[in-house]
Amino acid sequence: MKTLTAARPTAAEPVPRAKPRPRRHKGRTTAVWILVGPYALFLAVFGLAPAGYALWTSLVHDGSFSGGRNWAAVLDDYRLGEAAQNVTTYLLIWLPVLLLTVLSLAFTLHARPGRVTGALQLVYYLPGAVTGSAAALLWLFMVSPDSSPFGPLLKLMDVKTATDALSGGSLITVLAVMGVAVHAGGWIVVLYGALTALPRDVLEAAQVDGASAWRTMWHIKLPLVRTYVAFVLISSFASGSQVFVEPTVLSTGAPGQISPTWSVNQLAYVYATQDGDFGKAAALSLAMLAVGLLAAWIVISRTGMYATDSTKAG
Amino acid sequence: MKRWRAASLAAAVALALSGCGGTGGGSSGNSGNDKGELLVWVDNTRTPAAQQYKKAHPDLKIRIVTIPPDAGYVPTKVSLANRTKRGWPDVVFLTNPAEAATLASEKFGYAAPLDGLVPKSVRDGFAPGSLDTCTFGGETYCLRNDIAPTVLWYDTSLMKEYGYQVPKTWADYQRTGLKAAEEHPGTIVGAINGKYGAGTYFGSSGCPTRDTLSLTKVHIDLTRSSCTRVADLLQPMAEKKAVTTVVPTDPAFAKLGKENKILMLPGPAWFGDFMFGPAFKIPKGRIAAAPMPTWPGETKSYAGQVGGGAFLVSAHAGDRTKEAADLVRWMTTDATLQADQPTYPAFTAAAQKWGEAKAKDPYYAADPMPALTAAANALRPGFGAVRFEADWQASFNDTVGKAADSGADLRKTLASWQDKLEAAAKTSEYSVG
Amino acid sequence: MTALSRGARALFLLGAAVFFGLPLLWLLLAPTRTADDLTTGAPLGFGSLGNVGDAWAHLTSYNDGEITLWIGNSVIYAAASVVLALLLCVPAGYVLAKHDFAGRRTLLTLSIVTMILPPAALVLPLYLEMSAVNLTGTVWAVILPLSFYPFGVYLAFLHFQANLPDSLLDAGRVDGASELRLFWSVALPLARPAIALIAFFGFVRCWTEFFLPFVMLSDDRTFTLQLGLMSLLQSTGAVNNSSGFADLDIHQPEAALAGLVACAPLLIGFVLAQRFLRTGLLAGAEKG
Repeated sequence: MKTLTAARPTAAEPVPRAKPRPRRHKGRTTAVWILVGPYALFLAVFGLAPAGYALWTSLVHDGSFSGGRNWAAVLDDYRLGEAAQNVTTYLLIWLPVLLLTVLSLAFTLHARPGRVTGALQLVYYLPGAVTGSAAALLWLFMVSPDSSPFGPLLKLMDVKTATDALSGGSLITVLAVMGVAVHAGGWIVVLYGALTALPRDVLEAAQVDGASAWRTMWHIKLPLVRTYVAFVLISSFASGSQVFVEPTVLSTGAPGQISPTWSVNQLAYVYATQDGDFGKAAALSLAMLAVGLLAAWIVISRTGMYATDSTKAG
Repeated sequence: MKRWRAASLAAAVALALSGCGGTGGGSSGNSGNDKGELLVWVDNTRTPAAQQYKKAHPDLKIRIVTIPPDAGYVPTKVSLANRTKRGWPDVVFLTNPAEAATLASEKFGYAAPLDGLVPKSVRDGFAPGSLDTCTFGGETYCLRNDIAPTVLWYDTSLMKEYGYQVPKTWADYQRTGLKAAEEHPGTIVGAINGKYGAGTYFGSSGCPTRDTLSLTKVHIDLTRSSCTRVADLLQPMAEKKAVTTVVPTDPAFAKLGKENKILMLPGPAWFGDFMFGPAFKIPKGRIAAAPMPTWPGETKSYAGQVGGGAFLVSAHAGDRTKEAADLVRWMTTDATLQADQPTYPAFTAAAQKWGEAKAKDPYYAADPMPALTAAANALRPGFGAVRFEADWQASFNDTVGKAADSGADLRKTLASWQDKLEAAAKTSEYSVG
Repeated sequence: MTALSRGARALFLLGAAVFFGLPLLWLLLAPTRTADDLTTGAPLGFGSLGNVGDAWAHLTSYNDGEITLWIGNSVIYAAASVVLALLLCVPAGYVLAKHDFAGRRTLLTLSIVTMILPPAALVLPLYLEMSAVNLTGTVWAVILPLSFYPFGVYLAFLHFQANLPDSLLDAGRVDGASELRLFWSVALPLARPAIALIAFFGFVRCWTEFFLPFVMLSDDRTFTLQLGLMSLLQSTGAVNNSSGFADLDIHQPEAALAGLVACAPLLIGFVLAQRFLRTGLLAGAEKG
């Protein structure tokens, strides 16, 4: 199951250029590998080997090499187009709303840190902590106008029953709102943590300057945490394009209402489980990986994350 | 500072050690096969029965595992076992019998044909047509545990109050439904969402939406009159909201029940015990069952199906095959055991015994057993287990369900449902005939 | 800050708190209510505390109280994976941040790639690996893959990068400290906030992980709480009446209670991590 922590690429590629490194040293190399070796081993065994094997399975059919056969079959699957369309729409709604929510809440919290900020962060984190079948129950009732505390709001949207909420155009809104509720809290914690770690002298100087809270945020704080924002963006893009939990959870609550292959990742999951077709599952997963990496690369180069860091370090 | 670092290291070592200790129960994952145990996978509801069997056979080594009823759990485990050539369960209970089509397929090669293992006399004791879901190309790959024939559930108090008669034909049903919707706004006489609509109406009419000819061939033809007549039946009722597109599992259905809006509801046998009271909140002494209405030119009232479970035996059970088949036979046919099961037994003799208690159930306004028994004996043929079960439901919602909601032409949407079904069937490696 | 903007700020934060808090408030109240009341009563009604006790009794009626067994399993799986992940992540993050060595860049890049690989691709390979060493069905089949946590490595890496000046290490080197010694007595004491974050996010991941146990475990007695609850709630039709039929008295209030039990450790973990984080940051600030 994918939680907000499951897919989190990171912004920190920049480092290599950050600083001239201390000269390599023979005795040091041993120490280095003693410290990083175990992780490297796990990376090889539980990361690279499975990924490599997945690539291999995606190219094999019935035990023999078949080139692009699985890939072609996946691209040809009548469910893929609809799923890709669903995911795209979802991303277009969810990603901006999520970013806006995370940024505005983290900055507003940080504008005047007080005793309640910790408690508020906990509250924002709450929906993300409910998972699995209990989440199915929770969200089924949240979208049922008659028994939901959000009932009046749903009725405003002309949603009369949970069936209404989960069909047609309202489904994507429900999923996006749910996705924001589930994912925002974790990122607020990360971003708020980054803000509190900012050097105090810079912020104090801004206050002495008499800059307004808004100006401080926009011109001082935001640039300082821009790598983190890029980090949130890359990770959220990956997890959004691999959306799985939200539609699955809702369809557990109201079976038969949402297509089991509503999202691309769900389709990959159906290949791997119900169909027992690991070749197709691997091919589709690798395609999703490629999309995530592409987005990561665009964000990194567009935001000039590398440059920022080397200037900062230099 | 030093202390917490040392402490965490100590904790790590302790945990690693405790992890070692915890492996004891786990080695079973490599299946009973290695130990000659009969490995039985059942859901929670079937677990006590399996344990009872184990107790009655102290000479047999049986290991019972309770599995999640999650769609895809068994196929996932079986396809992984197929790769490693071990770990197959010898007996499996399927909460969704459609998975039999997956597990019996050539690719999975898991389900063993039972024709040679379970005597014909026993197989003939099942409700007629109930083993059709288990039968592919003339061979029986599973035994049904319970079935879910549809009947016409209705509210006797409302019927009396409104002065209506329980409809005998679908034309009557339509008339009554439209009248009720007009005279008592908000009243419904049916639910047409997902498997409920597709199984209850199209299934009972004999519309070939999933008629399995073999493991690789399926017959889908929605141009048949057995399909169009259902569209014609539902069309005006959908427009007047006499049938609802709200799913019976939606909490909103409880509101319908509470506000006395459910006049009739054709639906599976289990609606009686598990939906009307617990979910729709309809008080006791009001609900009764009638046979499904009949179509013009037919005198028999046919039932559709929505649900039920099945048992499979592994093709890899080896010398435990006989034991496995015996367990499955006992689990599905023992009358005393089945009499206590929550849902309608597939084995006719067991169903009789099951019905004795049901007949006296004070929840019902009248004994529902005559209608249920008749329905179990009149399952409409042509409703097979398919590998695209989930898509079958989703595509129905997407086409007919959506059209019913918006008041569009239902007959016309049958064509797009046909397209989606065919695409789904082909993706699941069926040829459509 | 003007009174107006202060008011707007409070209103915004509280509005968000209502949005994020209401679902859990509902879940918190649900076990006190009856299944009937949940569908027909006021959305945020309160039943009675007695109902909570009943609901728990009903939950433990499933397979002779198997739920307590699953809680124990989950604690073992999660604790072992988190500890192992910390042992792997913290030193690796330190080295990647503070040492230049051949393969460093490759390690960083490959970590990202494996981080966003969809799990459906990993079912078969991981299962085959575990099967090859006879570990499927054991606790190790869950613990070992989960303790590979590239995200944690990045957290540690970022932390050391930002908060451990090279000068501090060089001073140690001048004193003749070995590289391992430097890690143990210079880097590690400064790693508290990173450890708190990795431990928390790692714990969340292990505790809520569904997919790996689903693939690896085939005996209900070894299930995690997540997997067990899915099994329990679906086979009893607790979430919706059509998913399963049982004579057990497990309905929506029981499902809500089960959900609360499952998420309580995460919230406790959150509060603990927040504490650890705050003190760590303060300590770091003083040193810096």
